[in-house]
Amino acid sequence: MIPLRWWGAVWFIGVLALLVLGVPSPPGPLEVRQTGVVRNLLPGDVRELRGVIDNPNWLPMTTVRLEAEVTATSEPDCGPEFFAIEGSPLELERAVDPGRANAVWSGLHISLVPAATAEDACQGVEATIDYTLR
Amino acid sequence: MRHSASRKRHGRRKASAGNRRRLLLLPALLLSLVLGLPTTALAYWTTTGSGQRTAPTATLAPPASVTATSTTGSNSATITWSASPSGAPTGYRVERSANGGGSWTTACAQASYPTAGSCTDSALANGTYQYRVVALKGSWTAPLAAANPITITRDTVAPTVTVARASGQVTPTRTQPMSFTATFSETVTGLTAAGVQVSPGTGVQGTAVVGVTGSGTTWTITVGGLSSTSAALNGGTVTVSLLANAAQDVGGNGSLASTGSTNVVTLDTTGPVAPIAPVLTTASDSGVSSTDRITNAANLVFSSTASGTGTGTVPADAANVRLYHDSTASGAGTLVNATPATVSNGNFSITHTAPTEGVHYYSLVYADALGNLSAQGPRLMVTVDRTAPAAPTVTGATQRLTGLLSADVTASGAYSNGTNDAGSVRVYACTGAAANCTVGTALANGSTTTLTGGVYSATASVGGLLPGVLGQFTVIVTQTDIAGNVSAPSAPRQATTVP
Repeated sequence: MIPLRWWGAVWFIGVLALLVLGVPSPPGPLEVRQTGVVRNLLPGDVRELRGVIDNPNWLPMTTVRLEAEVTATSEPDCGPEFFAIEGSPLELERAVDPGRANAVWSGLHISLVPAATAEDACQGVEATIDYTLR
Repeated sequence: MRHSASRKRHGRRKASAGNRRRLLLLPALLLSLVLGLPTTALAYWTTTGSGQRTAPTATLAPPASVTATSTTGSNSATITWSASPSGAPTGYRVERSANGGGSWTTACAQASYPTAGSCTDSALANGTYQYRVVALKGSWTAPLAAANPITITRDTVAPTVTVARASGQVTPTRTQPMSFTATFSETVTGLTAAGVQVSPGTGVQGTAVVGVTGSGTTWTITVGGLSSTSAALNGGTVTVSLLANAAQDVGGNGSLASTGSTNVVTLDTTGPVAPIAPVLTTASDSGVSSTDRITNAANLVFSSTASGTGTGTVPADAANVRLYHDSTASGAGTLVNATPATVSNGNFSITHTAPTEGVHYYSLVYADALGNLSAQGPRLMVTVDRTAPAAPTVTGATQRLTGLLSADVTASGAYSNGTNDAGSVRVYACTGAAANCTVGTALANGSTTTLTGGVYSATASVGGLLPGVLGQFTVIVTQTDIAGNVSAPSAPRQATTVP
């Protein structure tokens, strides 16, 4: 049992330890996961994108907005310019609790832009969507 | 993927540089840790993040079962296909190549073929063509699906046609519709009534009603709605032919105008002129007169005017005759001869077997060889009377010597004066007992005596008498009516001698 007169010292040491040792290190990045599956995208199709955010930190984190972008494709003749993502950036100001899938997001849409020219090169292409939380 | 990975690394750097500590909130954080407040409410870190996912696009499949066909001689091709098995095309485009696939042009547009189907590519020149069908989805086209090459060798020869009476179509005829057969030199389509020309000859009137059926090279044309005029007793001709371009062959060539010499039918819908009244033959007109048509004949024979006693002649186009009895003023009555009597050389004979007693009215109707009937002729009244009158009465009988061996025996009395009874009476003179006096035993009989006034007086002259006979005559009297029916003998009566 700690004598009462020592409680002041303990509190002081604790606060000092927190200030010296307990200042949190910079938090790790959040992970954006797309849960909605997009398959067989056709010219003119508009498909919704939705997903969750994982927080690997031990403290809740605040997000501001989510950006999505097609950054690459599997076919050089059907580049990212053939795809469009509507709704990006998505305003996403919210607190994300530590853990997996504690925040969900939706409201982004991907489409294969109908073009006047033939888009046959875009058949069977795999487009890569990059998500960035700001 | 390298690009994506680079972005991820970049994101992490931005995350390290961008983290900010909000030191002013540190005591609150510590307090929350101590007091156990919900951590969400105390989120004071704003951070970055990233993620990545792929989105595969679809693949549009070509249509299946693409075929191209063309009828020999046709200048068109038909391309068929079934739906693409995947990719949900919104349309198809049929393309044609005339140079072995070197270049392609659109044969059928997309808008016309939103689904699987067929396309008819027409007006092709002679040559060999290839077709392919392209599935379309937005700006996508499916891998091309090719059909078998086909060769177009267009028929450029116009079909010829002959028109003739159809099998079984007789001429002349009174029956409509009349049938004709159009035989083309090759398979044609498109023949309608508009391509049929009906030419009525003199004596034919009306508006032709034309029907057309058939396919291939043989077509049937029917023509009705016509009639012959009343003046044309033998009808008139109807000629059927086909106009040029009345039908088209597979190559689109119009047919030539028809030929043929048996494309004519004589149409006769007019009956003979109305007959006169029938004539009762003299042999059938018994009794007082052979022309009074009061008879007791068992059967009545009527004849044509040529063999009878009437006037007029049978018209030339009358082939047979129907006799009606009990005709009314407006109707034909009852047909006597179910089988019409044939007119031969202008003559005919019709027997009405066993007509009943009474008054009958007879009339004739002619028919021509086609069955066209004439109007009903006027009526002839014939009285059939087979009933004998009652025996006359003898109220007086005398005998007067007229020579050395002859005498006149006269009877007088009343006769039966019913309808048609007043024909004549005949006196029969007998010798011997009165009870033995009969028509058969009479020595003599008198000539018939015309009756009038209800009483008669008739005489029988008897010759070759033996001496002493005079004073022994008995008389009986019979009456014959107008139809020739003879009554029973009267009661015998002894004659008295007069000077």
